[in-house]
Amino acid sequence: MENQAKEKSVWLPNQLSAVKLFLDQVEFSINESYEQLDGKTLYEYTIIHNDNSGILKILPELKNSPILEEYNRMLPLDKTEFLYQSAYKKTGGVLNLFHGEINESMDSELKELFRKNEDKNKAIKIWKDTKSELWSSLSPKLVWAGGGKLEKELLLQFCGKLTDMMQGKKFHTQGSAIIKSMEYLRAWQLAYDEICSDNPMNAIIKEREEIYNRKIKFLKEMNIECDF
Amino acid sequence: MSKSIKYTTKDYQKTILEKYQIAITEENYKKCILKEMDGKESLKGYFNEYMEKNNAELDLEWGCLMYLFIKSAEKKDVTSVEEFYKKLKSYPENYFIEYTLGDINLMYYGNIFESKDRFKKALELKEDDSNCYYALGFIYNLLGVFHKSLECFNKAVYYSENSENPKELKLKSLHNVAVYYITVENDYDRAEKILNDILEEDPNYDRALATLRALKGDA
Repeated sequence: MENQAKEKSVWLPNQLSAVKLFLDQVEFSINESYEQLDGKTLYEYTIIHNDNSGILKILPELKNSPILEEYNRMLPLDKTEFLYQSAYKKTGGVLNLFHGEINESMDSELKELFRKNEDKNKAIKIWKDTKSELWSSLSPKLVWAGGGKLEKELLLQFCGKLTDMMQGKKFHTQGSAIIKSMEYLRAWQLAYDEICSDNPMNAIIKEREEIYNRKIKFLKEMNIECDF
Repeated sequence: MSKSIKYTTKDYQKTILEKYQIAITEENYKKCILKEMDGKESLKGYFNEYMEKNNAELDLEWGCLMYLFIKSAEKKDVTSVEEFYKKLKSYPENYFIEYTLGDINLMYYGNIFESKDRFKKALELKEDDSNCYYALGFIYNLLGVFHKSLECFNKAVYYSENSENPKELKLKSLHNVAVYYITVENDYDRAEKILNDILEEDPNYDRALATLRALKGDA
């Protein structure tokens, strides 16, 4: 097996991670603030206007493009965005690039919390702050918040390094290609990186915490209730 | 074997006779299974207990299917392993099946979460199994859940005497513990001590030598 999936010239171990690479970038761009949106993030602008008009303000070339549909799917256009279940629809960013699909039935931590707590809201409150096995030790609230500009830069750097490392290598099974990619990811996330002047894992968590705080503050100002 | 054909126990017996020159019968199927475990005492012990405990539910068909499952796993014939697994589903849960499927999910498909669940199940069926702990340590590291990975590697070391290759399992687990202290905790002194412990047990252990060299180079 060689170069099963290519995103431009990027080497990835399977088709799913190629899709996730694209979705990661969409998700990160939703958390960025734009001059065209008066300094608001696309996330905030969408909630204020309750429509998707912000996308074409910043990316007019997306009109009639299938990419617009992906933005529509990922923008906070309905109330499900604010329910705990929405975490399972998020990408998890670069740290979760090689994970398969995640769903609630796989979440043994949440199941256990629901079992222990009669009050479902109390269970969710604990769950959202607890580092999860499903998302490379990110807490659900940080998965829900999503990444931003820095994580995007780190993602692209990582993919470049992975490509340099793997290009031309042959793998006899999909499993061995995924394992090698994940091993490389884990080593990368813990090593010092000049882009963030820290290790990528710490920098990603820090940026996601900032995004989370900004989102929660904004939702409170908008008087929107949120499980996170 | 085609999925559309209904095979009988006699068909399985015939296949085993033709392919492996073993005449498996009602009287000897348990012995045949145990014979396949020669040299793997821990596994042999497990199968002995399993067959005693589930005696009432096991029969010649199980014996044939398990024999073919073991042979397919040996040959790394994923399609046959999965086929015989489906047929063995109606029998009591078995550690060897769960372990083998965990391995296939990981190494063949890269289904990390499914593999983790299989190894966890295998561990429930064979308590304190050092190979399961090692596999889970490896998986948790891939999943970026480093503290659990460390916990599992430490348990793999602790229970390594129960494995078929105690020294190999202990040393590779210890090496992974040392790597954890280097990469996650940046505790180079502790890592160095563990690497030296490994080398005391086996002075030619390549991976420990390489990691120690890299550590000294970086320091």
